[in-house]
Amino acid sequence: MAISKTLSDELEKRRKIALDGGGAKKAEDRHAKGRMTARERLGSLFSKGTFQEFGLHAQHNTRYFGMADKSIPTDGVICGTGFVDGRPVAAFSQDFGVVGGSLGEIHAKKICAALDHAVKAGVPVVGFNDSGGARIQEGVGALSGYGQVFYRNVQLSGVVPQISVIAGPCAGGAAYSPALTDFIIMTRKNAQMFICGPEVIRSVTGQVTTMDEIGSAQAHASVSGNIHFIAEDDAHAVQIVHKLLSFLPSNNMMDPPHHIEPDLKIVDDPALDELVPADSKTPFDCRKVIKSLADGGDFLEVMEHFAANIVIGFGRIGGVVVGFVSNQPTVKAGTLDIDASDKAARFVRFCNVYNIPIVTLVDVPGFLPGVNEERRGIIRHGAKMLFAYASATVPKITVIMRKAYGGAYLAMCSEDMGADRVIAWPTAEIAVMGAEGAVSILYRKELAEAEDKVAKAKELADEYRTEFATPYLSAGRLAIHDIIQPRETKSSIALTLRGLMSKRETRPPKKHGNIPL
Amino acid sequence: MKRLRITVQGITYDVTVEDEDLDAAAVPAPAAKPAAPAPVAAPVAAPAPVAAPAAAPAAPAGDGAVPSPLAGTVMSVEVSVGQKVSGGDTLVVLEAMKMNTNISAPSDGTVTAVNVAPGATVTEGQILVTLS
Repeated sequence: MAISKTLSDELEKRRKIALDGGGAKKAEDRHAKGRMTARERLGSLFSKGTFQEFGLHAQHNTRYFGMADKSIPTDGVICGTGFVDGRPVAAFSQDFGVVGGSLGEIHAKKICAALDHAVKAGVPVVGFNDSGGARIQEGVGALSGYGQVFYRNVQLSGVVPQISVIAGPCAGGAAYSPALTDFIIMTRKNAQMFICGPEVIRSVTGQVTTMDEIGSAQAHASVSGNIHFIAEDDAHAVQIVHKLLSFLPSNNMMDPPHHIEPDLKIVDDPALDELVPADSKTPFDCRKVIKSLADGGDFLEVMEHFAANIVIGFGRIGGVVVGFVSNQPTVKAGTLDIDASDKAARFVRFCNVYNIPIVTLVDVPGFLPGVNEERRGIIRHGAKMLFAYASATVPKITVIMRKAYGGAYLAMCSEDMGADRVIAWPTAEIAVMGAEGAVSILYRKELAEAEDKVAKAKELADEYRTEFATPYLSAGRLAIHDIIQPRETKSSIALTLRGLMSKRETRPPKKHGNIPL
Repeated sequence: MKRLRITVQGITYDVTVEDEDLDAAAVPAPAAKPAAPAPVAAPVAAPAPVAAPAAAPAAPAGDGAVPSPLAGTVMSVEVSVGQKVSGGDTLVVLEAMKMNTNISAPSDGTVTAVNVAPGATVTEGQILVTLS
């Protein structure tokens, strides 16, 4: 008794056709350009031998434009599950080699199946986008396919992490699926993302532009803020996915992968004392502080090139995965503006939904003054930060390094915004506004009468600084829980985090809040 | 063509003025000329808007122009015309929002124009220095 050879051969024949996808010639062309095929991308994502495909034998159901007799192996998308660092992950990878990776009904159904599996199994999902767009021959079937993918992207949001890799064209409606996911990684070359391309823009508006200006990884990473990471090539994109997953839980009911050692080392780090410039006007790179706080200096920065006046990313402190949010004094004086607010607020919400404690490092002189900022709605955008922090129930630790002025002090997770612990360095200045501004209002009369107005203003400002803008006044009002030496920061945060691992904070039930969008 | 130095609200501009009637065959000022980059962003209220007319083929804020990332006051200018700089070198230090901001060279080059002096207030996007 053995399986009939005919049946066995039939399976092997079908397997070969499907696995060949677009064929050897197309694969070679890709390799010549330093690119991977759709199947190779999944191969490098998953540990060897762990990929289990579904839908290998899928066939399209297009009946029009002479498509009925055409074979489209896998219908242009490869889907399945596998393991990354021993953890299960779902994935799909659009195959540009097969009818341009165009999306038809069955293609969409396969992506949906991957998403449905991810939410059922409680595992992250990674999508490689490399598609010419909707399969025109399928008409509304293709559009409906996109709709079903979008709908699932939204249902999965906040349940399992969704990571998108843009590794080829991703145009028009197709761009909205990645946009609905948590993180977008885009390859520096060979990838474009846009709603309306340069041709359409020119014919409708007369504006002359290039793909580099509107659709490249560079443009999206620095100007539009649509993507989170630039990858040099496909292999690098997969590396970023691996790194990102190493900080994320599989789903919203799990803790992130902490590496907690039973014994917590409480050791001072004198290097941090040296990092703080003596002059409060001298900028310092906040990444240096973050790297000295993160275990092994291991910090995965997110959206590095967009709104660089705020720095966000993942690391571990004392083994506990945290999300860092820090003002960056070297860029725009560390002020909060519209883009910085959007960037930080979404990150805080991501951390909250996936149980990742938030460590906020503050050196903020205020919101960025400017006509554009006001007219473009800094009120609405800045409010996102307040909303995100106040609604976050994960452990929240705030370190006030230097300036914390006005509304920006609150927007950086002050005690009132629900911070579980607020610590300040002796260099902290917390006030409604900076010394000069405050003095000009508080002492308007004295200044008007003074003989040497400049000298008087300076004298009063210095007085204000020493007496008012110190952390002791705030500590006296319990707005700060403790004042510590910079060298004590890491051990202090680590100890606090350890004590907050069991934090439970419940809120009144509701459908959802109404964050100012 | 005539070169003028104009100071508006503490900001010094080196400008080149062309009279097109006299100099019909005027060729665009070569970008290398240190004085060329007309401060297109001259304040609207500038009392002497000599620089504004499109006459001088305004060297656009293109390659080599280093704009101010935010409004502030110039604390110091660290380079002078003709000086060679490497990418990352500090060109100008601004003070804005109670903080010094170092404006550094985006790439290697030679300073072809310095448009600001210490004490000057600058607006966001104003060209501080031009590199070749």
